[in-house]
Amino acid sequence: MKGSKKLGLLAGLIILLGGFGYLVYGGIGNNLVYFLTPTELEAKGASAIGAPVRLGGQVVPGSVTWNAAALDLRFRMTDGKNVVEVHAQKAPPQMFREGMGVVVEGKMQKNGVFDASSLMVKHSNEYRPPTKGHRPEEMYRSLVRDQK
Amino acid sequence: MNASIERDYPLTPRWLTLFGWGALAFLLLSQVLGVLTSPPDRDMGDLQKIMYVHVPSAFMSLIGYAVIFVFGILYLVKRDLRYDLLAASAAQVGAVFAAATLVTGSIWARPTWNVWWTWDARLTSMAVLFLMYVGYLVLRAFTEDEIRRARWSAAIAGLGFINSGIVYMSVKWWRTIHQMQSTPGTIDPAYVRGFRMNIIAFLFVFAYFVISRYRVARVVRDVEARIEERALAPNAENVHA
Amino acid sequence: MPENWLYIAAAYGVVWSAIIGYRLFLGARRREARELVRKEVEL
Repeated sequence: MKGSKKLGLLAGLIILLGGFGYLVYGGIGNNLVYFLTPTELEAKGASAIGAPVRLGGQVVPGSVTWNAAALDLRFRMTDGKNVVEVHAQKAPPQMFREGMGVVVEGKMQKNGVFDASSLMVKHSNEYRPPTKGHRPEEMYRSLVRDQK
Repeated sequence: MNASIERDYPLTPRWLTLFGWGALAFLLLSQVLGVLTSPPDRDMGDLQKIMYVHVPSAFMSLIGYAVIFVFGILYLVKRDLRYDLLAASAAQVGAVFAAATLVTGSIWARPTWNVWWTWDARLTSMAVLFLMYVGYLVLRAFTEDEIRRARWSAAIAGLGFINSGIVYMSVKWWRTIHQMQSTPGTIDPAYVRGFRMNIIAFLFVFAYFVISRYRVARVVRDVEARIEERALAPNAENVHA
Repeated sequence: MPENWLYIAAAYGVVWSAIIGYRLFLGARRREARELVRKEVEL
């Protein structure tokens, strides 16, 4: 009984200290501006090249090319004003599709293409069933099917 | 004596037991109804169903600190330790739901956002809220003096309550991967009833847990106080010896 | 996406485990409290 209480205390302390340590180490201040928009990245000009950054925007419809054999994904991303070309050696996640919000982590290269090392999908706060005759399973597949 | 304690302040009065079973039945109904009646979402398909466990858990962990805060203030105003015990009970239950929020959120994030965890403002502030729950409970466990414990707890309650507001507003104040709060306007009517029922069901479960935990804490405190009092007071046998 | 059901099941499993777990914890605290009350009577 007394031993188990001590153990609980120790566990609590470890969670607390470990947690706060990780928060500080994880760079809490870095993440208040979680991602830059293409316009903000553009404004940085040459200084943006090679610096690791998160970039957020919308996948431009019709801009996606996916080569499954080479694991090569290319698309353009926009914030409505500027467009950035993105390249990733990643399979598109199931919610990745044209017009969807995405956040990529990576570096801008000299040739103006953003090299993404990770790819996240940002969902909106809308929840709607698909319209008649439209099965969501097919929407997941459509992206893969379109690439040849 | 034993019977009279149980009669005066039972740990599980009949109404509480009935309330507990009612809460469980309503929760089961809400969960089953939520899962069975919701059509797949056009973007995330069936994964939308995680909404009925993640969002109510998150709601409870925010409400938890509001409850702790209110009872903390009540303690400071009335100087009645029962309010402190109520706050502590809410903290324990809130901590459970905060942990559930983080874990279900992570499980939901992997297939939808394509990542288990990321340090955006919503996730970070929620992690801090969980740590504040743990911190509140650890501090209480470390503090022997009950008056000091109650005061410090009320102070942390203020910080935690402020942070719960930051968690709620984080998606509006900062750019995040987490979406903004959904409103009835952004959720299809097909999901709204199941969502609302589950929020109410979780509230019932939360209330049942807090009330139950409080009754235990109060009985333990009263009995321990009496035992201590008797140990300190010189009793008849000692005088004769 | 059949694997989505694994995520859904995991999320529901976590929350139900938390609720059942806390109820068991509560039961243990109740037993301790009753034991304490019994001890006081014996004192």
